[in-house]
Amino acid sequence: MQDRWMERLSEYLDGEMDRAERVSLETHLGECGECSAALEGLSRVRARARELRQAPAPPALWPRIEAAIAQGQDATAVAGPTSAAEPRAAAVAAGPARVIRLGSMRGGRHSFSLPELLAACLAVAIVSGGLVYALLRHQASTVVPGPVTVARAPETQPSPSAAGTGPLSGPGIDGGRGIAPASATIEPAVRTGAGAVYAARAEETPHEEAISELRKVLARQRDQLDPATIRTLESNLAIIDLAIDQARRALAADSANTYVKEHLAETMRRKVELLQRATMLASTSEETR
Amino acid sequence: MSYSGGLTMTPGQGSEGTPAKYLDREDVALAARGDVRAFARLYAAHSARIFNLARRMTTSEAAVDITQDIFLRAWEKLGTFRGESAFGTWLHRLAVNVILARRATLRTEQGRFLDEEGILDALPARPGGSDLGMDFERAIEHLPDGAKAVFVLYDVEGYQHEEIAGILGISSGTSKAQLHRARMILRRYLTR
Repeated sequence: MQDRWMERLSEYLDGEMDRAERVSLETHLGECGECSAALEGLSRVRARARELRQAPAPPALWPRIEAAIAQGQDATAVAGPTSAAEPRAAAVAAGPARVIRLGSMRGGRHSFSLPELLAACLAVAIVSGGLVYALLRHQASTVVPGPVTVARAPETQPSPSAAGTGPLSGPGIDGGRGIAPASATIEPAVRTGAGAVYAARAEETPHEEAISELRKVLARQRDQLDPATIRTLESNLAIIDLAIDQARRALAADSANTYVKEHLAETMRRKVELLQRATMLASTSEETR
Repeated sequence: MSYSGGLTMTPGQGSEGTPAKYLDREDVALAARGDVRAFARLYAAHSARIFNLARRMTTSEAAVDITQDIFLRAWEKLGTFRGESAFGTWLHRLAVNVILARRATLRTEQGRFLDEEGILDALPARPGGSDLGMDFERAIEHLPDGAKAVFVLYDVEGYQHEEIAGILGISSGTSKAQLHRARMILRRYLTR
């Protein structure tokens, strides 16, 4: 009898019992010191909860948010292990252990749904990929076929975003605004052949880093997406990867081709954006229930 | 007797007879058009509550990043806010959703959310003269996962069991049971 009432003391405290039960419990409380003491303790806990103070958010937080907004970025902190012993202020000063800089917010308002992005990615991959394919065919008559080797930037090659400063610095996507047109940073007249390919790959690095990070996050959150979405996502990623591969092959054959460089950059950016939205969809699936 | 807070009364809002939904209206409209200064005012008005919600429902270490994520998400989604409720209510609900999603990740990555009844027994006893408020905060942080979520939402934030049930995807009865469980654990901690 006593245990039954003990488990219902919070209901009594919160006024969620009907009158008959309340009378019965009050009778019991007059006879049971243990339940009376427990009720008093529960009441103290509830009162303490209501009196909790609201600590101000860390002062360094708004500048971080403002900076992200100013850069037209959406930022999602990916929780990483942080030492519990570190003061919060130090954690703020250091910034999140791993912050993925997400892509353009497109004016800060519009965001594509996953299906829209899939369609956009495929449109980019298919339309521009077709042109790349045509380029490859055209070049086949002048370029000796052989194993495609693409120069890979060394690990120490600084990526465009690696030099980024500020609390949100981290693996990113060219400052979060999408990769700049390759022609803006690569001088075809100077950088030709392997040098140009090398430079183009250096520009890809931040995208690759972001893609790698996002794939890890997505793998962890995979069970938040329904199987049909995952299948569609994976098949479309495969198509985009094919387009990227074609662009790289075209670039290897014609390293000064601005169109191919831009196509490669755009396709990479689309891939990042698609992965971003997929991870966000997974992490916020609760919102849309 | 239960009290209502959370969804209907935001601290600092509606206390002088002005319906809470009108207090932020101008800044919300400006921010929705890209006015960062207006958004800064909204941040100033609501950041403490959101930060403390994140801190109490996850960990102090994770709360900073989560709060940042919540406000960036709010900035991005302001255009979808229709003004049918108070901005604070809308933001709070957005925050709860972001926090719950992040909790799942934290649970997997860090194994921080243990579901053991005696978890607070591992905490050192309160030293004499310690800040009771901070001590209580620390105890909340170490509550079992499910009990903590319900306790924070009900006793701290003022949600009702039916609302919590909807948010957490549990039954109202489970919400009541988890609340009682949390209170009993905290009572034991405070009286030891």
